[in-house]
Amino acid sequence: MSTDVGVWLQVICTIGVLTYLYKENWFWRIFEYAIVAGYTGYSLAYGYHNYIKPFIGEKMIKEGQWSFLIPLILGILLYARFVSGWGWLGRYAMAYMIGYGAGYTLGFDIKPLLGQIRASFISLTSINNIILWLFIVTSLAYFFFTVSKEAPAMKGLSTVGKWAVMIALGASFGNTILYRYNLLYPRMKLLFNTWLGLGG
Amino acid sequence: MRKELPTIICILMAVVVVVSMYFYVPNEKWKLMDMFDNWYNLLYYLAMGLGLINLTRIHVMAVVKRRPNWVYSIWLVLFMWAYFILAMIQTVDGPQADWVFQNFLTPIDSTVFALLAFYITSASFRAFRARTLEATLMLLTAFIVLLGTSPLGDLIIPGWTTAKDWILSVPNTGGQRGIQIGIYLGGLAAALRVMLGLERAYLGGAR
Amino acid sequence: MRALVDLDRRWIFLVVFILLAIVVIWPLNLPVRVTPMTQGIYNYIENLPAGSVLWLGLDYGPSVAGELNPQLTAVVEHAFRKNLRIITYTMWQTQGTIGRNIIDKLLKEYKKEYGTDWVDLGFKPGGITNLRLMTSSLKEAAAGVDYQGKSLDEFPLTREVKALDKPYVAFIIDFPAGTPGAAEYLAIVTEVKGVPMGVGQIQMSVADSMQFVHSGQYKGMIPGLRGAAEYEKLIGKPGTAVRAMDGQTLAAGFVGLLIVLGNVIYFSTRGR
Repeated sequence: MSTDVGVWLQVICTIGVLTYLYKENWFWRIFEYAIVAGYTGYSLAYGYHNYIKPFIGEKMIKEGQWSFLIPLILGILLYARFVSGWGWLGRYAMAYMIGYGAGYTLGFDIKPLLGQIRASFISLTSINNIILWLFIVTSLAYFFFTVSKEAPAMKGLSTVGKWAVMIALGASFGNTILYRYNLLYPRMKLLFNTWLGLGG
Repeated sequence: MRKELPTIICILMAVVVVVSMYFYVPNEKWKLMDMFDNWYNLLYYLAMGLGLINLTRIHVMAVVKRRPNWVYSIWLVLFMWAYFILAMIQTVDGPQADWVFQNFLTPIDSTVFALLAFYITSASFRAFRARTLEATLMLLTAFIVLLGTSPLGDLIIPGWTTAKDWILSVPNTGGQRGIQIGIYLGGLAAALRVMLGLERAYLGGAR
Repeated sequence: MRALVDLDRRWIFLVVFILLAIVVIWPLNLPVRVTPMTQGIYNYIENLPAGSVLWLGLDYGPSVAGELNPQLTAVVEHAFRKNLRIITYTMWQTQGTIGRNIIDKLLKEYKKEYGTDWVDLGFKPGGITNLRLMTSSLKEAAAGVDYQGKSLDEFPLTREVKALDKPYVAFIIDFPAGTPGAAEYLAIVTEVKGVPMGVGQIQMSVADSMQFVHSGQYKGMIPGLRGAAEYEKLIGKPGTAVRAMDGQTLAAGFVGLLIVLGNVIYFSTRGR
């Protein structure tokens, strides 16, 4: 059995979370609240040391790049929500972030999309390519909502499309089952190999 | 000031990215997007402080008003601030801060994600039924992928892995691409609405 | 038979726990066959000339470390054997020291040197905006420093590599647990700058990444833990992933059996 304090703490956390399987209980809640608290504290301290300090302290104040004053003011305006009646000031920062995000989607997502479309123009010379092409076209038809599904051609296409989507979801589901076990396995190794020293 | 200016800022920022993406002129001196990227990154972290303040406010109120589970709220606030202060003093890579991260936060996070293995097993038994043709297709695919990915498939029927690889690379790819193209188009349409100033939900909330 | 379906699900939980405990204590060690996808990414790295820079995006936190750590270990080991140089960067702050500890160990094992053969930029906030900044200027995006706050000018590797762009970086492999991750690398780096990329994918996202492998946008994919086990086999060093395949074997066997059993019960009791 391990004598490492760290391992013991890891084991207590692992068992604590696993007790949720029996039913929700006070022991589990300690860890549930801890993870929210821990990650919030971590993120903020990280952000301060790696961003706020170098950019405000070094670049702005020491090197004189005063353009950083703009995001600093925008950022401070976010906190106006704690002053009754002035919360709307935070919208400037939100507008900046949302507009910039939308610009990124419009600017950068078209090329990967075109790559996908380009790869769908394949020569229909093998059975695999025919199935692939058929499933691409029909699954698109299934998601095409601007034309009524009652039209016979659309009905047929979207039915096959539904099968294609179901197969895709089935493949995802099969993988998801394995994925969850892949994550559980190391926890079991911790309990039995590292902590109890059995097998391994 | 309250609605028009934020909308203009929003539209302007979207246009800046699109223009610099499609009319890109390499210029070492004039790196406009680099500056805006840095601003965005800085804003992102300044915004995170809201989380700390909000969590503290909500949980202190829960304690004051003796809401259900208020005892845990004390724990949350104390641990959050203690860890925050520790990580501020020695950075998150500091010996004690890292020790807490490795031995306390990491196992909790990993085990929470692993819990779903139990639930997905129970759900497969209770709910995964071949009721209709569509459900049967989904079930069969999942079954083949499940066994084909593990070493077990090849043990039962040699070549099972090959069948799994075929399903993944042919019919699955077809279906997934339909879904993916739909996702891209949806994302682009939503972003376009923001850039045209039609989508202004972000103005809501704070009055 | 009906009673079996109405069984308290906690009994199923208990069986899962016991079965997993058994394979953890007494490993099965079933053979794993290498599939073309993993072979593809292996071949790509195998054919990179010595000294090329491999960019590794460590975009995951502790929750999926069980899957992606073995992949990372195998890839880094392969890269060091081929005398490639590595730059690591993460957009996930929960990555912490996970990947760094792995590479650090291999660095010593292969007698490589930090700064010459590997530089870790660590976590830098901003997600996609910062990733784009990387393609323009590494120094700007990393605020001029590596994970320990040392200037990038101190290291021969980052003195040479000015940006996440051609010709500095030969190949990117991203290990994503979600967003931001491989999709962002594809949109912002590979499609714009033309640096080829591969992905070390978590098992859950294998099916929905296939279309990017088919389109050639990803040069290859290491599919989940199974892929990691295959990669370990390819570099001739079976390790944690090959062992952990026992968990998958159990998942496939037990869950597969339950699916069949559930349906047998459903069809045999349907009319009644």
